[in-house]
Amino acid sequence: MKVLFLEDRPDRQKLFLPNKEKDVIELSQISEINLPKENVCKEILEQINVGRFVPDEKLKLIIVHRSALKSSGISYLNGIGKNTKIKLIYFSGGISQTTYFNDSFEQININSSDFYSDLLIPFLKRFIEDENTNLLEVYNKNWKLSYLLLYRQIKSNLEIETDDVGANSPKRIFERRIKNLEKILGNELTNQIDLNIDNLILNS
Amino acid sequence: MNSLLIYNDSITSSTFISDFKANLGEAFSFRITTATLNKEDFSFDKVASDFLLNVLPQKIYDVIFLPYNLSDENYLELAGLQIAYHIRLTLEFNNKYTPIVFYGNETPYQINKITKAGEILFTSNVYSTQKHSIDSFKEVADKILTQGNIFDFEKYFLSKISIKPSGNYSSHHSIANEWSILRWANFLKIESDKINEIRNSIGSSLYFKYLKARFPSKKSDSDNSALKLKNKGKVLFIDDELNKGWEVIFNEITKDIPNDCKYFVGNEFKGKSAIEIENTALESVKKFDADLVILDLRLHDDDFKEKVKLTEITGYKILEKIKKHNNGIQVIIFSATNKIWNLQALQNAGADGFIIKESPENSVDESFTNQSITNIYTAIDTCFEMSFLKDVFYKTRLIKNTFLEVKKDDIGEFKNIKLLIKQKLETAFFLSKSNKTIDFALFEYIQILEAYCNYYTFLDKKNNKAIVYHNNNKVINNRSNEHIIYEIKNDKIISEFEYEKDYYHFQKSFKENDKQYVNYKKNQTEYANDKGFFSFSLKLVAVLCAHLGDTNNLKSIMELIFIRNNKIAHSGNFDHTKRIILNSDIKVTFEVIRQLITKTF
Repeated sequence: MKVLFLEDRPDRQKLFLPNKEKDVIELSQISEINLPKENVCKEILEQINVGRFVPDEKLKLIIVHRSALKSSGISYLNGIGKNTKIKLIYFSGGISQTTYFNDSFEQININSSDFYSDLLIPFLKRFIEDENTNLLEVYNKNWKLSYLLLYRQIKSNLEIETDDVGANSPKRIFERRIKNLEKILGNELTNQIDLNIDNLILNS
Repeated sequence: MNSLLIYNDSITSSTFISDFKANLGEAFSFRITTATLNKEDFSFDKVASDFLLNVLPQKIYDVIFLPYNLSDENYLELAGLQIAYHIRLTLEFNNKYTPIVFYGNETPYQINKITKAGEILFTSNVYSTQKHSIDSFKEVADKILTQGNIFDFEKYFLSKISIKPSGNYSSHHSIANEWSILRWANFLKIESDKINEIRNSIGSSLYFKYLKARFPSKKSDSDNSALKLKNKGKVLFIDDELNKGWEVIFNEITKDIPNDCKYFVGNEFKGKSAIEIENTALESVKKFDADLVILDLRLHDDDFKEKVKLTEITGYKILEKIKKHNNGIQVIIFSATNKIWNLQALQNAGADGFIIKESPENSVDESFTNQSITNIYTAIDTCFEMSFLKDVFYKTRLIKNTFLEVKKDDIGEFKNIKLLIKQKLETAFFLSKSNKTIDFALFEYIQILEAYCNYYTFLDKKNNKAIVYHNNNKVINNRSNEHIIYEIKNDKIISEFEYEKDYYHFQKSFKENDKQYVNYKKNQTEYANDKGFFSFSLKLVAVLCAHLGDTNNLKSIMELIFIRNNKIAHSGNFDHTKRIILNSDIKVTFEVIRQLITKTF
């Protein structure tokens, strides 16, 4: 299975998913998603907490209730992410601000009510088809806008950066980042960046 | 120039940073690291607060510069705005009024279109520039410094923003819980690791800071050393958030109760179904034999659903189960609800008291906290006073199901008296639960005694005697089954009472060498006179002596009968305040009835 979904409070799904029971059923019927029930879920969480969980080779994404993990578990799971590039989604009611990271591996921390939105099921279906689907899509339809704004910000800084000594100089790092973002966004968007940003904001 | 720049070094030009430091002031990098991400209690607010605590308090800056975005990857987090909110809403950072300048390619209107957090851009002392150079920053800063900093914080900032709690904050991360805990901990002057942990975690929450700013509390010098529980008993606390700080709070409030008389259950509720929680709670009540249960109303995620009915809430169901198990166990409901119809419904279901959690809206000043906590002590004390009802309920049920159970052979008068006593015991119990109806409870119990005495005594006019039967085998002149109270022979009363001034002596036995006399002070309005008047008082004395063999409680009972008679007969003239009916009166009367029934039925 490509996706492991660890929800230790299944009632929460019924509470927050827009179409309640209907969405829960649909979620459980998506192939390639492992949604272990109760005791099995708790067992896996315990394995993660004690550093004994070994991910399946096919696994590409782990979704887990963050509050169900101890520090050791979070650390262990992040280690798995780093080593295997498995993507991580942590959700919890206590998360007040969504934070997204893509340093050595992709990870997002998101509030439960933002996570259980009408974007979740379409995101999962897309992810199963294409593992390169960006995690930002799980909570934000406007993920392209986010990248465009970031692209523009880095570009502005690149223009005034003068330190270009060495392969890892600030200027070179910025240039690499710009290239990466251009790959994600495509030339069509980055060529007329201000106009595209203005339009996306207007329509948001 | 004494400016501050907060930036993320992975997306900010190092040249720019160096220029800023050289010309305008200090610069600090804000970046969330992998190490921070690994922490169990990771939150953006905590990281932001910790960062600002290191950077800000030592100085009041002239201007603070912030980009809209401080995230490596996700611009739309707009973390710069969040940092600005923290600066404004945290007194300890000492830069509440410091002008803030946002820089970025977007206009404030565009930012505000993207996120509601953009409201801050339209408050006093917040500026923006789309120019990204040191010269333009200098220009902006110079302009700002010509204006004053201080502004009406409420009018030009607080009223223009709104910060919502994060979704799902109504369940296991409820702000009302944490707000209450901290307020009460401050008032009770509790210093503990757990409370400090809450202060640190919730103290950094932006929403909490916003609430504190909107609902500031005045410092109070309240002396709470006088707050003490007067009564004792066994108390069980049922709350799924005990480990969030409630155990610490309640331990402090009940510190005069020995540890083996307190029990906490609820930390293990996480992940359990509603029915499992209900069963665990009830088992705890039975196992611990609690006198008082302090019961949180919402114990399961489903309890926080939008349209959930009160009767479907886990705490409500537990209340019903406890009262069904033993209606005398006192239950105080612990909740944030302030809906009067909920409180009334809970009272109808048997709740004996309420502890209402403070919420930001109702704790504008510390006198509210003072009152809240004083009420907790009062509620607990009152419930301990009423906890005798647990024993009364248990024994009543036992009597009803055993001695008063109507059997096939029971007929006529014996059957009727069983049914009568059963019904009156039930009525009396319910009337005992309130001091408004406690008088009537006593009346019911005394009526039971009257019925009992009437059943077991007999004025045998034909043979000129009054007798009390030992048991149900009521055959006249059967000496083995009767005890003569008095007999009239040759116009003389041969009484087993000897009347002395103010006292009756009741002979307990016919055996000459076994004469024991029981004294009780003469009731002022009733006495066994020479004419053979067979009063209730006389019957009662006879019954107690014959059936129980002692009259230890006779004096108390006679006094209560006297009071009862006057309350009913002279209700208008009787000064009810002179002698109010107490719980101890109910206890005594019930105990006498219980002993009589278990002895003879």
